[in-house]
Amino acid sequence: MTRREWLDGTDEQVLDTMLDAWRTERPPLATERRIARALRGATAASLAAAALTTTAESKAAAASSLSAAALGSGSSTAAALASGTLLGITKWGGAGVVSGVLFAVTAGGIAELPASAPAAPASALATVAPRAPKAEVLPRRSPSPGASDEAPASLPASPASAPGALPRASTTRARVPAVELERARTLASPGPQASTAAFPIEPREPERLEAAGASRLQDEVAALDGARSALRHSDAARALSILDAYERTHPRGMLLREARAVRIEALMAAGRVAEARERTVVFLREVSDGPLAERVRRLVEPLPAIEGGGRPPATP
Amino acid sequence: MGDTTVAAGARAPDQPDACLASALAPEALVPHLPFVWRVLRGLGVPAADLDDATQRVFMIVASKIAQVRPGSERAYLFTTATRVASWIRRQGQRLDLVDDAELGLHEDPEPGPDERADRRRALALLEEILARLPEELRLVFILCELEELTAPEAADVLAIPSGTVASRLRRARQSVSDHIQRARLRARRGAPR
Repeated sequence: MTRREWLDGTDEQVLDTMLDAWRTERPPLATERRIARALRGATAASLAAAALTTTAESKAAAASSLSAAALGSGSSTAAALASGTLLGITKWGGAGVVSGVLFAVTAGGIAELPASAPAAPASALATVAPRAPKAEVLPRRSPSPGASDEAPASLPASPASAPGALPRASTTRARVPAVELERARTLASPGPQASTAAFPIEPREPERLEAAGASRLQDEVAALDGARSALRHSDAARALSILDAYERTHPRGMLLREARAVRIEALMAAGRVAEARERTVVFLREVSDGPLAERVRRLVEPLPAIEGGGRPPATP
Repeated sequence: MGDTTVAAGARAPDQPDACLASALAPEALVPHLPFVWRVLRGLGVPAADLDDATQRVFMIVASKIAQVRPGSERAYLFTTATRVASWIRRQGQRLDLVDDAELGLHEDPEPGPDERADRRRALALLEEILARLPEELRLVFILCELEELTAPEAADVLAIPSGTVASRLRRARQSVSDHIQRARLRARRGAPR
């Protein structure tokens, strides 16, 4: 380690220890694999979409396949579904027709993340870029007055219009350590679940179908957002009613599992503990591992009934 | 503070650079997974959300891959990560009940339990220190000290002048040094019981 003149010896040792810990920190392998797989899938899909386009149905199938694959590797349903969406979105992007919705599921629920249309990147970026980065990354310390509640909506719209314009950006590229590149190569190499057959492609009326798919996703996201919002306002009954409607409208929805998790939370909030636990047992049979399962499990604890059957050893 | 704009929005967004961008494949983002993970962690994303947050960052950047110039992947990812982290923290994690150990986030087959515990403690202290830094200092500290970018590289990522990076880094270091000292004193006071 090089000496740092800004620290005395003992403090420097402390910092070195922290830096060692920081630099060895990395995602669990399952997470890396899942995201790498999604990115690889996105690549293939984008290429395919240049000439062809998926139907809304095939998008759902793609998402389901990816879900299943991700679940098989022990990762969260939420993330898996998000991966599926990534593929769909990227396909649309490749076809140049998207003005879609990116979504993902977090512990807090589902976020609708409107994306700018690739067809009009400049205008889209102009709308959102100036305010987005003033983020309250550290909310307890002087949150930026410029940040608004709308920020989540603008969140992804411009990952960085600026970096794209940076003349020296290439210098940062070389900093990826060789070991990480190697690991990335391993992660990126096609695995048994990488078959493009998982993403059936059908050339047909691209724009109409894309719009339909995006709209359906938006509906699903909006429904779950609504349910979460109701929960945040302590209106469990309303949350449950939204979830009922969601499940009726989207019996094979891409966010069905997340909806079920939210339902369990709503049932708990409504004091319907027995029902919540019943549903939890069923839920955990289907989603036994990953953050979503953990959250649900924690919601209804103590839950002796599922300790034996619902939480199998985490084998891949 | 006039220079608190830390990332993407700092440059004129109406430049037609997107049109000039590459045929970069989303797969090119894969090597940056650990970087994004660490950055999100350093930005205070709760352990239970790191997985989803990481995926979200990649989703977002991959969906805009056509706008990402080769070589600027890291900048895009970093900027997106700051936004995702910010957004997640704003959500107020109702279900943030899962800690690192439960999620096995630091599971590593190599180090023994003691070493793992040490590492976790060191990381926890680092996160605590980072959380106490003002945002603009934290971002610079993460990039320059933790991720070892040079000042010009960090300036690229943050879209701010190198001089600003240097001055923020100086302030960040001073602040980190103070925090480390305080943490040491605290540990010393608490140790002999």
